[in-house]
Amino acid sequence: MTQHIDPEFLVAYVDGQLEQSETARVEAALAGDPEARETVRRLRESAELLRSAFNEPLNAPVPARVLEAIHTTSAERAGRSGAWRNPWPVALAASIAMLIVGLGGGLLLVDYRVEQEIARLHAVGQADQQVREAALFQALEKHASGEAVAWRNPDSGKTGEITPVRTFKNRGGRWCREYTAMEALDGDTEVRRAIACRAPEGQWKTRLVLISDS
Amino acid sequence: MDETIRREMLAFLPRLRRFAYGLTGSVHDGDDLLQATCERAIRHIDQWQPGTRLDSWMYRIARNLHLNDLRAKGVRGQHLASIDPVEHGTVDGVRAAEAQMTFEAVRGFVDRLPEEQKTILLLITVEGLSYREVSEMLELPIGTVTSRLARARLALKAFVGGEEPTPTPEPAR
Repeated sequence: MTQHIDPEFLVAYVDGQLEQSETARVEAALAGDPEARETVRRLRESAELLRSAFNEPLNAPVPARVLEAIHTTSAERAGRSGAWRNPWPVALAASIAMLIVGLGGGLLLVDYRVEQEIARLHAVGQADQQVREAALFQALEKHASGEAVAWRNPDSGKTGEITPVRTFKNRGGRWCREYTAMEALDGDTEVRRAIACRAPEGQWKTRLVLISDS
Repeated sequence: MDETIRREMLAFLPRLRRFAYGLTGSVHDGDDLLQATCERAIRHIDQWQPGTRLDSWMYRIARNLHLNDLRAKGVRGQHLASIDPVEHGTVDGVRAAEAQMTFEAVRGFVDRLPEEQKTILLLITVEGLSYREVSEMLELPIGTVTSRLARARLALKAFVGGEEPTPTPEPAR
């Protein structure tokens, strides 16, 4: 029915994939070929139908299991490539940030399971933080240099060990301690070295974090 | 993976999901493919060249994983589960049902296409990639992309218009 114009050209024309000169040539031919015009119309219509037939995933939330897999995989990755370049739970923070960015990005991820997952991760991360801080206080306040204090958060499976290394007075006259902190999760171990100084109220504040790898 | 890449990947998920749905012919298998694609992409993010399109790279991963799956199973996707119809309050029931039947028929048509036509049809006509992008992604001459696409599109037109019950298979497969 389109003897005058190669159907391949008509498809490429409908898709806007022809060079300008070719487009002009097809349009000129179309002007005198009602049958080809009908083909163009139906090519457009059927393409539109095809898009509609597959469009539903665009309007549905991405399943939580896929998001969870993404979060797990990227956490594994972040864990491997030095999770302590940023504040402590980098992998965790990264995955939460990832999910939040997704939500803020106008995506249809407003799935309450996702929000629950975020809340859960956040809670686990906070629990890690609490156990870690308690162990740190214990180690710095009560343990001699070289004596390790171990901690473990059963909810996340994370374990850690804090060992004071040396003790000194800083220029302001405060007591400071250098310590190493090791953390392990699922076989990934990371070590960092830091200095904490004791505030007059009795808290130990970490001033400097030196990264070292396991 | 830095924040920009993560953001881009997340924003791209619904489209990648649509592509996976089209390739596998079912929502469930599509989601398996989507998940496998994301995991692979994250683990191998170093292989993605910054400055090139992340979406093209991921489409390509999805398509390769899908082909591996087919080879492993030795069969083509057999049937198609439909996504629950979206409810349109303003469309009357009969018309909505008819549209849904048409959509299912079109998905069935795509499912029966030869794999290489299906991939190209989905990438260009549904996902909106250019012929050149697809030719680079699949490492095929642009003429091959153009002719495979045209074959699929003309078959689709015929199918929708009731001209022929089934798509013409590609010769020399």
